Formats: sequence, structure tokens, C-alpha cells
Amino acid sequence: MFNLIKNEVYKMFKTKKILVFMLIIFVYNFLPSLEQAMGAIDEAEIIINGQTTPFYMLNFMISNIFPIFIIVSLADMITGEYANGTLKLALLHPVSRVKLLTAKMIALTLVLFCILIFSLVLSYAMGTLIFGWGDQFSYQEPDQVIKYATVYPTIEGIYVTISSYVLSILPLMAFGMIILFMALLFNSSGVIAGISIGLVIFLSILGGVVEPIQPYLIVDGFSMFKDIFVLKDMTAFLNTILVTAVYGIGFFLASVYLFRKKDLTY
Amino acid sequence: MNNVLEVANLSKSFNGNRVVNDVSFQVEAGDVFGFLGPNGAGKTTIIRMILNLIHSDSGTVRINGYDTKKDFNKAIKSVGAIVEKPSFHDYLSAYDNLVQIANLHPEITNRRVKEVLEFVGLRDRAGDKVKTYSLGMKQRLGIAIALINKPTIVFLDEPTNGLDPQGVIEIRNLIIRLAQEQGITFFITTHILHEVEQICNKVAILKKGKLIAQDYVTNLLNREKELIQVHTNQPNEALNLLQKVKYISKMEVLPFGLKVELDKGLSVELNKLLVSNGIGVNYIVPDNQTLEQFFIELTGGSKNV
Repeated sequence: MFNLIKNEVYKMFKTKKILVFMLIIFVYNFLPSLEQAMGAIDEAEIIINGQTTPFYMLNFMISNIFPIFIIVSLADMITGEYANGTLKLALLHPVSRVKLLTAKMIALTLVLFCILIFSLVLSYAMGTLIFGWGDQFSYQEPDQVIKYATVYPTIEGIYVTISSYVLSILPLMAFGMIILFMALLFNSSGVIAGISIGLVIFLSILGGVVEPIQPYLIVDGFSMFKDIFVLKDMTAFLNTILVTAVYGIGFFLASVYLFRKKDLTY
Repeated sequence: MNNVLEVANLSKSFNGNRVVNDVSFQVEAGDVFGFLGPNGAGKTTIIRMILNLIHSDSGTVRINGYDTKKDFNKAIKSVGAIVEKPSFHDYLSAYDNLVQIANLHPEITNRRVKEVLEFVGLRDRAGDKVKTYSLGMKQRLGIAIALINKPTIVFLDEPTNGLDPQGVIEIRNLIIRLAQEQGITFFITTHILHEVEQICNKVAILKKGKLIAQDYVTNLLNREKELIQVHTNQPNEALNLLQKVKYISKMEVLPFGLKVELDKGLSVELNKLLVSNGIGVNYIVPDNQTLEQFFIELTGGSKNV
């Protein structure tokens, strides 16, 4: 199993996709400074400093950049490999289909973790460089006045930020399981990417329109770190964890079933 | 003899259409087994079922004595295969592609990776990305991947497809060398019947998902009848004379004389009969049946294997 995971991680790092996403994350980190230059931050009366930049950036990227990274990666790792005939390479050796799928998902988790760490470190560095370190961690939701901001002392703020990044792996990988299932259903990477991105947009809109179902949508779980660190609502957090776990485990088991039954004709 | 591969009563349907129908055959250790059939006959589906890439509706496959459904890991451990076309991670080098496979077998060392690269003549280009390789080099890399785990049986699905004549000869010689020097059993499908005749000792012929012939190549071509060409300037006289001869089953007048199908070993008798009746015989030339002729006869005229 270890060697299978090693193979998958090696392949992911050998493609240019990770570099492209690192570059996109780098560019995204200039957005707060752009907003500063445009005066949008002062106008909204938001305090941004080096301590809070990573939290703001995570809140922003968790619903677009990271899900897209997962979609592109899985479209490549499953559908792309199937269509190219390389998915069967490992299966012509003593490797079970369940092990191969598991190894791919573990590899994706590891690479996603690396991307998140890169993003965290970069946001700390660029935030500090542009806004200065600041004296405390202070986070405001859009339209939230400064006196209601979520405030943590520096050390606790660092803990909250790192924990939020680590915690984000759970909803992202649960989302990954849904994409895995779809990647096994279709034979074209382009179709997977299109449908998956469409799904993210649709679910985001659906959650806004039909509010009662919002807590049960996978996209709502992306920001589960805010339930515990901003809203400080343990019930909502546990509910989101449960919903996310049901999505993750359910779709993984469905994917395993589908893959075991699938005739590999490419 | 020791059967490396035993296929029994294999069947498969896609969307209610039966594409493989009760196919059974055995491949013995050391065989170079040619698997032939027109396009769409079910050859690749059968290879995929043998290798568990496609699930069969019924039937069993045993490789080296292990049932592929019950003991897949043991069955597949000593198998090498290229299915349809050799597929690689083309953004990786040949060396990296081989390491990817070596990582799946704890016993394969780095030395073995270099050994197979050397064997297929890719050592000098091992560090280059596969996307820069020619088709011939990719075929050789495919063979390297198929050999890396020291298999007892290698499946090659149209190994010379798309290669230039030089490449065809290279791959053919490689197969012969491996079969002779290392005793590897080969299971080959190919478009080129002449090639099968040159390298395979046994063949099975498939038509519309059913096996219609299987035997040693020599047995298939060495039948009770033989064909000869009788070169004569008096074909009509010869035809009249031979019409009542019992050991002759078929005759045809051709520009050079006659083409005659007769019981095996009686061509000398025929010659004597013609000469004693005053018919001048310039030559008698054996018209040996090729595998291609046999194949066309069996499958109903399609040359496209």
C-alpha cells in the first residue's frame, strides 16, 4: 500500500498541475493588497494583518481554488488514466481495485495537505509583508462591524489558523469522494471537470436560495472551521462533521462498489 | 504437459449481445500461442477477461493453477501483459515508468529495472520522457514492463501493430529469443498471419465470439489432402483423364495447367498416370496451404484478423 501511495504522489508531483495551482495561490495572495490599494478594505472598516491574512485567504479559497484542484486532480488520476489506458497498468499486477482507489485518495489527501501548507505559509509571509504582523488575530465577516469581530491573542490566533487549514482537509476530501464517484462514471476528463464545477456552483446557489437544506449540502461543510472558531457553535460544527462524514464515507463506498463492478475496456 | 493458462467455458455479453460464447482452451508451458480472429471476434475481450479487467458472465480462468477470481494476486503475480496498445505515463521517463511497476512487486530490484531496459535496448534513452519515444521504442518499453516481474506467461495484444518492417522484425526476434532462452510462454494476438506462422507453435481461431479451431500450427496446415500445381501444356486432356481418379477431390484449370487437390502422398502416382497416358508434365509444384489461406477458409473470407 505504501508503494502504491508513493507511486501516486510521485505522478502528481511530476505533472505541472501542482505548480500551476501554486502559482494561482500565489496570485490570489495579492488580492488583499489590491483591495487595500483600491481602498476597499478601509471603506469596509476591516482590519487585516499578517496574523489574519491566512484565515481570510482560506475562507476565500476553500470554496473555489481548492475544490477546483480536487476536481482537476481526480479527473486526471481516474478518468484521464482510464481513457489513456494507464489505470489498468497497476491492475495487471498484484494490486486490488480497492487498494488502488484508496491509494489514489490518500495520495490526493497528502498532496492537498502540501498545497494547504504552502498556502498557509505564503499567506503569513505575504500578509506580514504587505500589512505588517499586527498585534492580534481579528476576523470580520463581510458587513460585520469591527466591534463584533472574532478576536484571538496572537498565539491562539496561530493555533486557530493552523487548525482551520488542517480541518479543511475533511470537507475537501469528502467533496473529493463525490468527484471520485463521478470520475468512475464518465470516460472524459473534460466532462468530469465541467459537471463538477457546475455542481459546486449549483449547490452554492441552491444553499442560498433554499436555506433549510444548506446545512446538508457538501459545499456548506467547506467552511466548517468557522463553525468552531468564528461562530463557536459546537452543535453546528458536529452536525457539519456528521454530514461531511456521511458524504465522504457514502461516496467512497459507492465508488468502491462501482470500480469493482466496472469493466475496464480502455 | 504443464498448463500455464486454462480457460474454461468463458462467456460474456454486452447489452444483451453475446460477444464471447463458451470459449475454452489451454496454453502449455513454453508455447507461443497465436490467438486469431477477425475484427470484433472477441480476442481483446477474452484477454481482458483472462486478466480480470473485464468480468466474465460465466466460466473460469486459471493462470499457473490459480483461479483468477479466487486467487487473483497469486494468479497475476507471474504474468506480463500489453493489452491493446502499450500505455504509459508519457510525462514520466521509461525508467520512472518501470519503477512504478517495480514498486508493486517487493522482490523487483533496481538492478532488474536496468536489466530489462538493457534487454530491450532502451538503456541509453531510459531517462527521456516517454512522450519523446517512437512507436517502436514504446513497443519495446511495453515489453520491458511486461518482463520486469520475470513472468511465466506474457500476453501481447497485437505487438507489432503500427510498426515499420524493421520494428516488426525486432519485436518478432525479441519474442523468439525470450521464448527460446528464457522459456517464457507467449499468448499473442496479431493482424499478421504470416507472423503467427513464423513464431507461434499453436493457434486458436475465434469467430463471432466462438472458438472454431485450435491446434498446433503444423497440424492445422498438414491435413489429409494436399494441393499441387501440375504445369502442363495439355490441361484439357489432363482434366479429362483425371476426372475419374478416386484420390483426386478437386481440380481447377489455370494458365499454367491444373491445380489439383488430392490425397496426401499420391502426387507421384498422379505424375506416373499423366506421363503413361502421353500427357507431358513440365513440373509438379507443391502448393502448400498457408495459415492465411486456412484462416480465410475458416472465417469465411475475411483477411482482416
